[in-house]
Amino acid sequence: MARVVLRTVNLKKSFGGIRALDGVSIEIREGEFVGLIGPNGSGKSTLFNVISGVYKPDSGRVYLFGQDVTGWEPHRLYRLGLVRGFQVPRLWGKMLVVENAATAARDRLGVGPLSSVLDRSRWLRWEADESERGLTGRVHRVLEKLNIFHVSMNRASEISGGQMKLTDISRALLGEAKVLLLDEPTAGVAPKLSRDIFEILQELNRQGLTIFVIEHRLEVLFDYVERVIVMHEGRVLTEGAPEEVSRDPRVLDAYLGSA
Amino acid sequence: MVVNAAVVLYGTIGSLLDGLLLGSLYGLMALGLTLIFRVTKIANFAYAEYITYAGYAAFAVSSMLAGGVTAFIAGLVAAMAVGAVASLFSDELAFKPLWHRGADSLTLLVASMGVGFVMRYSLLGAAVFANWPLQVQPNVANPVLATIGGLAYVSGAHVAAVVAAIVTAVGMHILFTKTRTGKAMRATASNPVLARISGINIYYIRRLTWLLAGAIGGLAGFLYSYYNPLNPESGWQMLLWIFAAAIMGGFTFYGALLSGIILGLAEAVMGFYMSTFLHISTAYSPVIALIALVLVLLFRPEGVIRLETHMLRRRV
Amino acid sequence: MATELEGILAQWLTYFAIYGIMALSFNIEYGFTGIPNFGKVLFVAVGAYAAGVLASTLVLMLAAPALGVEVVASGEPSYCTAAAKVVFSQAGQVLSTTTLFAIFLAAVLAAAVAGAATSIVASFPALRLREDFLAITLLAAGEILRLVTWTSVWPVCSFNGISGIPSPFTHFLGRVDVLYAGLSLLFLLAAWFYTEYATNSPWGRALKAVRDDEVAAEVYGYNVASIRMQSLLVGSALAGIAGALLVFYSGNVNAGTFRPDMTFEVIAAVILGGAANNLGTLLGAAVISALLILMNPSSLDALGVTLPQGLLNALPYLKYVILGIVILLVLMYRPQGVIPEGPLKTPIVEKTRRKLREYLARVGGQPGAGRQ
Repeated sequence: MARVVLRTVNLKKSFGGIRALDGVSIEIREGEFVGLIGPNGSGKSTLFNVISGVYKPDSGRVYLFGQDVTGWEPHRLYRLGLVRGFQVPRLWGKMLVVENAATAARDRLGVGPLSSVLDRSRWLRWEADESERGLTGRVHRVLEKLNIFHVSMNRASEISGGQMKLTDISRALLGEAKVLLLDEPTAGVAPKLSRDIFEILQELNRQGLTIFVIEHRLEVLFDYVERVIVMHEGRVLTEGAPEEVSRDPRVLDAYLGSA
Repeated sequence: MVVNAAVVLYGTIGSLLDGLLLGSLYGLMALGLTLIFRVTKIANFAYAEYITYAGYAAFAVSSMLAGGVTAFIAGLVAAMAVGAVASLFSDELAFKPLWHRGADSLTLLVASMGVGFVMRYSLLGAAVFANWPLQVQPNVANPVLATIGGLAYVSGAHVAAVVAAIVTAVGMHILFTKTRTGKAMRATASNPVLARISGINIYYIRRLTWLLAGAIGGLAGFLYSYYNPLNPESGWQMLLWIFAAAIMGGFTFYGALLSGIILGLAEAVMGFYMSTFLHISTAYSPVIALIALVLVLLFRPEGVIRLETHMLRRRV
Repeated sequence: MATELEGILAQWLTYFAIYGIMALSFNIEYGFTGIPNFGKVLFVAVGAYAAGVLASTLVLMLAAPALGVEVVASGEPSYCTAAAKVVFSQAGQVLSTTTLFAIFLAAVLAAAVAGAATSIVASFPALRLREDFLAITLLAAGEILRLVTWTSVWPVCSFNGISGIPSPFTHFLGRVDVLYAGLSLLFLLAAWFYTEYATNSPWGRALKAVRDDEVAAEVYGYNVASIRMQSLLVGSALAGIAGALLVFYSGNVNAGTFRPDMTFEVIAAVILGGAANNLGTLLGAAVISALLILMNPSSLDALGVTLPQGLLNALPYLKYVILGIVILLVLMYRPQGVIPEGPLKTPIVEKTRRKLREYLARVGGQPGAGRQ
């Protein structure tokens, strides 16, 4: 069995007396494609925020590739290979779409007040490179794949909601994660496009990427993921294969609010 | 210089009294700043100029009169009216249009500095152009009510400042927490759109806020000039103190008053001791307030003395 | 008449150079990174004091023995004494141009280092406070420094300041002011090239990312704290250099110069020209420095403009009234500035622009027609 790449142990997090996470323990194995579902307010986004270091947990641990990363800042987790997208896309609004994508890309040169000047010829060459490893090549391929290349020269704040969502996903893909967390990648996106997004994710998953995704469109999600974790009131309610979960009466109860 | 015990005793009493006076005035000024910040979220640098303008108005009006009670009342009314009008105008001409365009808090802060510049330097320019005296004081006597040991004294200004500050702080607190208008102000502050939908005339509330804040500034300006001559830069020179008091008080009314008094006392008393025992120039005493401001912002940006919750910390 | 015009032009160019460097520095912090460093004058002052102290100390060390002047100080820095002023005024007799230039360059370097070092202190609040409170904190910090240096003999001779610091052009005859303007412009040019190269780069993208959404910047691997610090470090080093240039321009350094008004002038330049746009920033600096120079009785006199005495007296204040009005009008009617922010000049943007044009030619669309 593949090794565990992401593990949380008894995570707890409260906001002003409200228990958002009440002892969450999960395990994600290498190469898995896992869905995270649950009714609104069940703590899904908080779990993502705690795992990705945006919030610090009150107690409990987070392990990434076997390393205890509890309370690490997000940029250190990125270096280990964890990348996440946002439910409401947090784009860099005054920058172009292509700049948003390029900024998120892994392998960086020239990020510094001195290296940007002294190392100029090297980063210029790397950035202009349209081949497999060059920045321009990678960015263009991802933007074309997500079908947003035609807005690449628009400001990120001046495109449609669906395009913003795709731009956020392009950043996540260019982050070249080993573990990718996506928070509702299809929220506010046309139904046809939702499936396209999941097709792309499935393709990446087959190439070895571990994906953990929050999704409300269960009919789409269940066609792609191997395993689903269900959260309710800050806890893991149940988990299992999509067909098992969809037959579990507790899940329906949780969604109907009578659990 | 040999430090004489009596000098120290009466000097201490005197500096305590002066500190109380100055502190009450800082606190009073901070009340207006607090009101504006609470309702419109503007850290208003132009607020200092309402104080200065009010002091000048009091001077102008009272000079035309023979002095006495009439001049006192006329000066007070003129100061509060000019403070209120200056405040309302700066909102109508600068802040409100910017707010309509969705300006963020930093843009509004820069704009308030711009308004402050225009007001302060037009007053300076006009004063130089028309050869006005550069130091003015209303034509109202400040009677000495009691002297202590020949060094410390209590004057009309002392009593007036303390009473005015306390009454205003209590009044503002009651207005904000107990009345319908106060509720409307709080609603406007937290969610203007919702406030509007629920039938609150947010423009009326906004105008009322600015008028009231300006009038408080005017009152403070009058009392300050009643005690101490005013120049076109007086307000500006006090502004960082006013901010210090408002921020230390966590932008609550009682908090602002208490913080103002603490800062005033610290400035006067420490200034006195530093000059008497350490022979350090009193010019350093402003540094106390500034350092207090910086320390508060760094370590407890939500305020030290706060009587209501208010989050100011950077949200991540 | 002509020489007077030359004088005004030289004065304007010098101011343009100095304000240009300050504005570029503020633009890196505020325009690109979103840090409202309203304590700009603090870093300029630190640079100026560092330059003034180092230059005057060096001149004393090198010139006093040769001149046979004994400088005795009691409780104050030696460069504050009257004897030091004598040495400064006669330093040209014993110090060569090479030495004077070396002193000048050492002072500028010291100013940059001192400015950068101070920024480490400023980064402490910059990582913790929301924007408007950060602005107030830094403004207050600047005022603290001004008040302390105004009253304290150490290190800058209280309100008298250090005066008579010899210019590197002491041995030159003729238009020294023009030469100094040229020298300042060289520094501006260097600052401009550095800023253009440094910001039109992956680093510039990182700065803008921190400005536009710091959480997203963190999640995509940028250490926001360290990027803010880098921005402040560069900005403050540049501000320090501007301070040093100011010292050698007048020969004096004193606390009275470093009023918060100077910060406001710089803010005005950047907002007017266009934040996050280096060219706009320079344009803003050119306009603001012209305003500062022209609204001066002596300049108007030289230009042959006659005004009533009362108005002449009010002129130094009127220029700030105009400055305030300009800021308000820009904020209201053109908040993006005269030259708005554009994409960074990087290869990926160029390549994308070209490829998009080909793509659109193929599908027959219009650029920017992507909005749906």
